[in-house]
Amino acid sequence: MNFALTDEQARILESVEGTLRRAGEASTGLEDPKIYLDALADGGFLDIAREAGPLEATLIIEAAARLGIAAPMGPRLLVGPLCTDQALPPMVGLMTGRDGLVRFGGDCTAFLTLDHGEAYLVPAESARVERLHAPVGYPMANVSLPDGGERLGAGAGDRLRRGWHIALAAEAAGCMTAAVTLTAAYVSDRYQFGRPIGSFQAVQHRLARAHTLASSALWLARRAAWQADSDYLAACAAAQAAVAADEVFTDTHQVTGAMGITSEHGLVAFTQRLVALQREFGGTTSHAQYVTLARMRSTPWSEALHA
Amino acid sequence: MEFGWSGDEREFREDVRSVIRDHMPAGWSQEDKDLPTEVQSAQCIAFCGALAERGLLTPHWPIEYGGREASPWERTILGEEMWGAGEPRGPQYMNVNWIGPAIMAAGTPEQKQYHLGRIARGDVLWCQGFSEVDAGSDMASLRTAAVRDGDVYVVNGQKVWTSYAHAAEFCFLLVRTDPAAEKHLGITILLCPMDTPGIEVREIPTPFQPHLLHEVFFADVQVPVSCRLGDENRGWEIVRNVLANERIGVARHEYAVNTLDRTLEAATDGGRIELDPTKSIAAGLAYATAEATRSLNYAAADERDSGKDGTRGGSYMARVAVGILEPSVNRACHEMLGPVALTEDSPAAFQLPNAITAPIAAGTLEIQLNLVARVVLGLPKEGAAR
Repeated sequence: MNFALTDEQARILESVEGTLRRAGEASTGLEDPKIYLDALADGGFLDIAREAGPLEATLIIEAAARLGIAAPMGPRLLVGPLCTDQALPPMVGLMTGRDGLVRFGGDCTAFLTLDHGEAYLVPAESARVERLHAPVGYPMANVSLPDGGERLGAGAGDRLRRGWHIALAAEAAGCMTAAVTLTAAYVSDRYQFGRPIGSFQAVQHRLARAHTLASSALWLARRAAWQADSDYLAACAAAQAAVAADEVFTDTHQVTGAMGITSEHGLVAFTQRLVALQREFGGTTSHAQYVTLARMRSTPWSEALHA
Repeated sequence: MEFGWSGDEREFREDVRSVIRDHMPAGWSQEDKDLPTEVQSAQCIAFCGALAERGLLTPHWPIEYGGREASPWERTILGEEMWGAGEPRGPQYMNVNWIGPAIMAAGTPEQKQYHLGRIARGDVLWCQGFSEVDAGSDMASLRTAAVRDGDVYVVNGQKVWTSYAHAAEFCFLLVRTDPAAEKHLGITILLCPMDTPGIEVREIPTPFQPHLLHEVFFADVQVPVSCRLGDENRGWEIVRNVLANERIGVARHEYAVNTLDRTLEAATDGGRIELDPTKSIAAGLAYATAEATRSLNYAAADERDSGKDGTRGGSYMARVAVGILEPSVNRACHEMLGPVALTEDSPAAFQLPNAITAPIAAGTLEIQLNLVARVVLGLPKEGAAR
């Protein structure tokens, strides 16, 4: 076990971060998530999960989120390649069933849906898409899919679920890391009553707890990604990230006051996204229930019952 | 970055499990680790002797002291398997994890030869004489006094909350030898035999089990100077390193997962009954917290392995996580089992005291949060002014 990046992992991340930064600088200033996926495609990174591994893809998802990039990295870099070997377009949306709210739904060219335990790939041209305004830091859309689509074969549904759990956890971990970093800097420089507010124990304890939870979610997401085949660990990662996201949202805003909700400061861009991420794919309670289900399936006493 | 176990590490884990299978005291449960009767004390010594014979009691110790310098990962594995089994080493986990290392760091050749030998054989029980009535989190303000009188120190004072004091042969005792010095600078460590005249141990009753807590009174106790560990008035430096070691190696996450598994089995009658959503959610959140805690423990072990222990605060965050974990497990067990969780035979029986003690023992949650804030986040020390 080694928590340090290998040289190859470090090289990949450095390359990806440079690619994403350059794509952002070259943009017209309008929010266009596709520029980032296109940049990764040009750089040969879209299928990194197959070429290097799910952990490498997860590290990229986390890094992009930490950089403040809002783009459907998780669905394309991790979930899609875990579900199918076929080529996928850059912009993929994730959903369950045939109707639902989808992050980046208005920009996707294909949808992966988990429908009664099976994974289906459905082209966007067959979908009905209604873009929505939602104050959660991501473009959202109501998407309705027709029945059918390409069924992705045995086990793809489970792989979709695992990948989605891990991708959510990684993206949330990246947002949380950025949120805590911004907040720690703010409370170190903001003086009241003749001292930095970050020197008050009440502020320190909130942030320390938030950082610990965020770190635990980050490492659990990475562990789950490395293992890749554990429903239990993947669901744990999603559940822990959702719980941590709630605390990070609350604690970072509490100690940054009004400054924290200004566009200028930057914190709220990350915390808005935490709200969306926390509720995606059923949210905290759904992830937690799946943890218990997955655990029961893996225990010897339960295995005997299901044998 | 990878999270797998090597072949040697998997083999090591299997070795540890085989010793547990072969030598685990019959009927041992986590409550027994506090040695409520002499039976458990004898069982603990026998088990540790068996571990020692297999080279599994102090594998992480330096070769010169009988270990083989096993990696922090093997130490992590050992801790997980022991705690997962209810810690049949009893208080000897302290011996091997920090008391022994403290003696290695600062002991005289005679102290090393005697104490390290016995610790490595697993035949000695220690207790930790740290906390006092007025010195808990602010441990450096301790007042148990030791006055030099020829070749002895005369000790007077009282320690409190002392686990294992009723069964211990030695006490790792912090005393004040210079009351005039700044508080951290007047502390000395004595390796104090508990059968020295003038020492009285009294149990502090709790509703949970016998011999969980004790107070220890010292009335003109004459402790030979040869029992002093390190230099006079330099004990705090030794203790500071020791306390960091205390925080790693207690794999509460492993026991938490085992407790949740047993509770889940009971609540579902072995999988025959479906768990309602409220119970399933409570269980799932607790499992997730346990796995998150495991991840931070592994991160702390990685810091030690890479030689960065203490510089990035992994051990502090791991302790915070434990303080959050145990109450979560307690809630989940009670949610899953309902009133049955309150009976002493339930799989959740020991979770209630665990939920209370985990956030306060071995450095309170608040102290750990302070350390995370200052060491990890770099926040200004309290009281920092413009």
